[in-house]
Amino acid sequence: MNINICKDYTDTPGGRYISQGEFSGEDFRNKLLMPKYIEAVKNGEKLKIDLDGGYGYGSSFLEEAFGGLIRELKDNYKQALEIIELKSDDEPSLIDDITQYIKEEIKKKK
Amino acid sequence: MINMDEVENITGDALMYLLTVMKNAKMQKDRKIMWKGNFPKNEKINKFLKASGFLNYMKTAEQNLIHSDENFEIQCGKLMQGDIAKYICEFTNNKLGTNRLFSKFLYKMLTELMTNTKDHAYNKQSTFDYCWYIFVENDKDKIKYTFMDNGIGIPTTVSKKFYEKINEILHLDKQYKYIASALKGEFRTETKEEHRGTGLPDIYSISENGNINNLTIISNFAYYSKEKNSYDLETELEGTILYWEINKLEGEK
Repeated sequence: MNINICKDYTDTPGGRYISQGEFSGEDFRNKLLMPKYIEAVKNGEKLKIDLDGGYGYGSSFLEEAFGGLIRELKDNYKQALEIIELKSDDEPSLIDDITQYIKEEIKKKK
Repeated sequence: MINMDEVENITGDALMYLLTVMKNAKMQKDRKIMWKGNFPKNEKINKFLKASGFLNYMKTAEQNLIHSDENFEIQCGKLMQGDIAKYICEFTNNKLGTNRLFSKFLYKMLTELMTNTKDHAYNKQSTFDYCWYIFVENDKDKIKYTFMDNGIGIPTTVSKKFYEKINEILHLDKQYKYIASALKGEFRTETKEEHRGTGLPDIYSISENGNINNLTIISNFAYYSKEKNSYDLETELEGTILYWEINKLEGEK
């Protein structure tokens, strides 16, 4: 299962919350990330997410999308790092950032 | 009447602040003000005013508007506007001869600034209704960015420790220190949520990486400069002005 953020969602990601304007991390999580993640878990598949091609990401967008995914999930959050596979050739450091957001939220839930 | 007849110097931040006052719906609600104005006699300043985008917000004859590709005309908004951030990145890349990959830090910075305005810069005590403004100028050896909001200001909104609150009441603390502290990511987010409040630290980190130069922030009484002296001003600015530059040599690296 794949998500190409630039093609499937937007090349101009916004801020953290829907209330802050278009293409927020919260909106991306609700519309794409969460449903695809749940489907990937159900099918026992990987969820490949391509971050390349856009103009850039604010850290609040990424934190709310990925950290928020863990905060919102009741079950199946512990294996998030095994299910989600990130690609970011434009900005390789984003992979570490997102991994960190996910790890921190998993740790808080324990 | 805004009499600009004798004006000999003018900057983008001054024009944006003037706009926030003139466009302020909160003020207009109480009494309708009809603003009138004239143009500076000084030719250079006259041209700067006409090309700044300031007049796009006024009723004026078409011939008074100069669209120069040396400026990204003043834009304002209330929410995050990815399209404006994108155009500013494209303007920058066009002037520097760089591409989308180069300007990612700039997009990130603009995102944080635009969303911060909606989140933290205003409350019920604000004189103005919330709005951010941005103006970009292409100079000979650098591109100059000015972002402004007319909210309640960073020193007012940052979370303070008990003794700092006492010092604030007694005017013992310098306000620029709160900006320095918020930039360095010391836990000052108003929301008290650990995963939030990354906007100013992200901007500081972009500056530390050398992507931008001359980061300067004016907010309430604080005048913070990353590269020069910081101090407190004698008069208060209601709101926040962020200024930074990108040297044209950066694009050649």
